Amino acid sequence: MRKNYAKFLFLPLIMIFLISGCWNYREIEGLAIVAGIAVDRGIHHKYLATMEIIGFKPGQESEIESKLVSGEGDSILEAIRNSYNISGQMGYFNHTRALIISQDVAKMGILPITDLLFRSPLIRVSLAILISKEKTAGEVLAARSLNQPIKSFQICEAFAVQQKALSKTAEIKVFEAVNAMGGEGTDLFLPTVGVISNQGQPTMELSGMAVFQQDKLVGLLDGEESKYVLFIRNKVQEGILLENMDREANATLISFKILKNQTWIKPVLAKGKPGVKIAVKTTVDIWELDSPLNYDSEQDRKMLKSQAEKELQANILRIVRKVQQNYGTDIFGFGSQFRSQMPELWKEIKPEWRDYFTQLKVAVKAEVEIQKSGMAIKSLKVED
Amino acid sequence: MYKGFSEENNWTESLQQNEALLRELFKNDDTIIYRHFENQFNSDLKFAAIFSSGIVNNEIINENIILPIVANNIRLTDKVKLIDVLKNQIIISNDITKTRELDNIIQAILNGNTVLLHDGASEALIINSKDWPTRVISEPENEKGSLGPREGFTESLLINLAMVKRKLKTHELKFKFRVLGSRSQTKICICYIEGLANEAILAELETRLDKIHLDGILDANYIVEFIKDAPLSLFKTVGNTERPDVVAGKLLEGRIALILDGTPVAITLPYLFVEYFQTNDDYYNSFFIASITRIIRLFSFILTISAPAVFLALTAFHQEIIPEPLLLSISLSRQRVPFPTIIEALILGLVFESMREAGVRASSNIGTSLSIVGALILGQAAVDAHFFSAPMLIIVGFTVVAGLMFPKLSGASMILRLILLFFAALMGIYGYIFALSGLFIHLFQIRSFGVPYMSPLNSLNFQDLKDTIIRAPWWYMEYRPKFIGALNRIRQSNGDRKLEKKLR
Repeated sequence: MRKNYAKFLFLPLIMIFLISGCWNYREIEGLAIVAGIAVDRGIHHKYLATMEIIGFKPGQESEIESKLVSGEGDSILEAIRNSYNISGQMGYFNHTRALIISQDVAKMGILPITDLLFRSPLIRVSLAILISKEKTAGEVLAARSLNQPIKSFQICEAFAVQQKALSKTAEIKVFEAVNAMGGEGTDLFLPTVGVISNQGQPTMELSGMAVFQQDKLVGLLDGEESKYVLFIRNKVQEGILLENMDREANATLISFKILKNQTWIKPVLAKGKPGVKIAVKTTVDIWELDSPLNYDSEQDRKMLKSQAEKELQANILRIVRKVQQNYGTDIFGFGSQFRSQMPELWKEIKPEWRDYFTQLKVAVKAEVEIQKSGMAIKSLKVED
Repeated sequence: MYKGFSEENNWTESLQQNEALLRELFKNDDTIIYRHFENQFNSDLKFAAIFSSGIVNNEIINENIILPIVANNIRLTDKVKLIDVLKNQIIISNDITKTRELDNIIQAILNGNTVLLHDGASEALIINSKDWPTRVISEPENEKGSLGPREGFTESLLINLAMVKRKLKTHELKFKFRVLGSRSQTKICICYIEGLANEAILAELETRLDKIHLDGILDANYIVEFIKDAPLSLFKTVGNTERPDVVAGKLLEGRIALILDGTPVAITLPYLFVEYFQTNDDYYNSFFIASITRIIRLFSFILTISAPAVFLALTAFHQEIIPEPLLLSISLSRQRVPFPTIIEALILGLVFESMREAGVRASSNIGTSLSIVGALILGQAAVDAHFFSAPMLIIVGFTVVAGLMFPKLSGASMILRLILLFFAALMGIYGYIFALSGLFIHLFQIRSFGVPYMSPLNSLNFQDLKDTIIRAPWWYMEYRPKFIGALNRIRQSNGDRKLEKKLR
């Protein structure tokens, strides 16, 4: 017994030898740390790679600044290497956090790019992939970032905020993208990043998602639509749910804060045709209530709840229809649900899954539980 | 044996001849006093008292030797020799021996005893009259404790032994004297508790001591280097201390102590690696506090030898595992620094070590100016001038401070730090682990007097680890250390206290 115990103590010691990394001595200040890469179509060659390098402003109080350098080439590696001619420094990719791909390149297919990222021992598979909403990907890196001098790091911070407050897009890492492209019964979507004007200056903004068929871009969804995709993918953690009580007047707008959300997808076989039942259970708080509703009265509460459920159902159904009709790609992962829950049926329908998907009958049942109404029961009154 | 003189050589019954012989031996040594006197009733009885001034008690010589001989009416009979009359009836002394060996006589004079010669006798009397100035008992500077006994050893062997004796009042406590050093004639004393100390270790110690032929022994280290195992190792395989309470504690564990005349440093053996981290304070403090400080000490040892090496390996080899904010701030601070990281680490290490050495060597009056020079000029200005980077300064500074926690290990940790740094500079973390493995192999293979150096850390049995990384409560340490106290393992009862039961 004691001998076995001793053997286990030696295991981590042996492992230290195996995982001890590179052997070459590089001075830390000599590294051109690449924070992010943007891939565009080149003018003379196939690709134009723009790299964001972390630079240091000389001076008594040195500061970090973002430097951009780009190169063209017929492969991405060549494009990256050609940029060394300009910078005079080898890039250091171990800390690269974001890869932004332009729509042009994405339409050609992102497989060569993911292959490079996945193959390279230097680049982390936890790197985030994004699609630029602008004409080129490089201009996103050229835009201003607010709280971080390094724009690629700002993107990663923005993803964390998205998850906590908005849920209008979600971070997809390289390995997740590879899994989505290669997995059965699921298609890839990637977050999109754009440039908007903030205080008169172009600033990067994270919202929405890009829809892929295999590895090729087929369309973009805006932030609001993306939120409902995330609802179906059970990826909503926190966010805002808006509800229009009176659609015509557009006056009574209620905003709920999502506390937690759980989604179940159940594949069914109705009258010989495959279909999907989506059940959503969301717990929310009222944060804004611009209506004469009284939260204290049970009737009003019920009405509020049923209205919210109806609206959530409608929104989810709308995005499912849109993706089914416009893109025909299963970004919701319905196919994978068939595969795991009805494997026999999946074998049958797998070859024509794309056709099945566009015809799929989808039923949504949303349950919204309003937990609290904040510090107030009724809305504030204004006396004449 | 002194060349040219042997016991049969020239030692006669004539006082004059004998004195001439001694005068020849102690030629050009004006501290030797030859005092002639006679009995007042019988002036035929001529005496000479020979002693070395400065290391004798004049009162003893005057009152107890010269006065009785001069003032007493000595009646001589044929049966008894005068020398025996003197020894047994006249001279008042607790320590008096009769000898005719020249060696003993010379040693007696040099040790502060008085040699009494009388005309017509081929034998001399050696009367104890030793007295020389000694230092006051004070707390040792290098081994201070916040609690517990404050006394420390002095340079006088007998005072040191007295301090140990007062702590362990048992007839089993043995003191074996022997003399080492052909010129210094240094007395050393082997202390042990019979029935606890391992006889084999004791015999081994004696054989090793027998092999020493030195002309002078001024400090314990003269002997340590002769008797220690793994003589080329950085680590001590023989311990030293200036505290009698530590010696008493070690004796009770079954260890053996060597106390030397002329130095306040006592040797304890066998000495194991864990003893570097056990301080006397640990046993006087609450076991919680003692255990925590011990863990901190062990942790600091690992840090002090590996912090620069790991820092170098991370910043020069494995930048990918440094988090971005840290990577950027290190990179930022290294901009415009002209030296490679390894050179920077070496230079800074040298600077800090020289400052530490200066602090030890320099007189205490300039300590403040040293710290100002160190902190302001070398620290702040060097970073501002982009001579060194701030993170490296922090790392090296911290290692030095952590190294001060165990002064007995400071030399070894400095060299280990350099070795690990060197390997880390060659091969990164791999090299560091490589060197660390070498260190562990070394530590686990050496022994101290037959006891594995890393014991009991090489055991996975909790019973053996009670006084290592943590210090268990006294009532829980029922056994002596396994290897050393093997003769009599049960040390004490648990006093009806058990870890399992609730304490009463």
